[in-house]
Amino acid sequence: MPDNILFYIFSALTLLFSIIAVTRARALTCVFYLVLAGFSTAGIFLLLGAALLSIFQILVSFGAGLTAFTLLTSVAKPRTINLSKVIVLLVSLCIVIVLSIAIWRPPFAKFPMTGMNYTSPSALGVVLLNDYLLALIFFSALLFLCFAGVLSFVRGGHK
Amino acid sequence: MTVTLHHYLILSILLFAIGIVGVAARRNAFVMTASLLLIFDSSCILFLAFSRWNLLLEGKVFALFIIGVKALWFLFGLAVLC
Repeated sequence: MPDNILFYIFSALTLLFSIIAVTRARALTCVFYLVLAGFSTAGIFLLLGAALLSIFQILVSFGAGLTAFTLLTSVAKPRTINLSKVIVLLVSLCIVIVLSIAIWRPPFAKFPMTGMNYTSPSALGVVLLNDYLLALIFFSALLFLCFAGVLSFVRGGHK
Repeated sequence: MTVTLHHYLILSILLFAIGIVGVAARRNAFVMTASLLLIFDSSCILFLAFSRWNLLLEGKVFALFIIGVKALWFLFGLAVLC
């Protein structure tokens, strides 16, 4: 029963923040609500039993938000931020509380053969490093090459 | 009401639709990049929902790859825009 309530809360927050992020005119406001939508999506990942992926989602959302905020404020000086700070703090606090509750919930399923928890990151690691090791290596190399390309692109643009 | 796979599918479809609207209707390049991130999120939800209902870990693996691509896409979009 709490899972159902959490699902509806996270879904409503995700859709609300996504709509606001898409409809805003200013890029800074868009970034802010995009980060909040990412947090809500991380809560849905938790409800689906993917704790490690939800942590990755939070890290990626927060990192992307901070990077975008830094770049946008350095490129174009923004005017005053018109967000209500009290509402922003309340919403962020609610998300953190609900995420904390969701993290401490027990796993909902175990594999019958191995007895391993479906929700545990170790189960994902076992599959990733055994069945998908080659894909992981290629993906890591591809990410590294793309990252190097982005860095060279940015440095070339500044020159 | 008990949450089933259909609820997650509807949520994923709605999120995908919001992303498509953001890409198609807006002219701001930054908002278009952000909308593509929403599309990536919707695909992650879809993979994880099917993975959870079938008790398979492959969906988690693909979702992990999608999150990596999403981070890189956002970095690349910011690099191009700024």
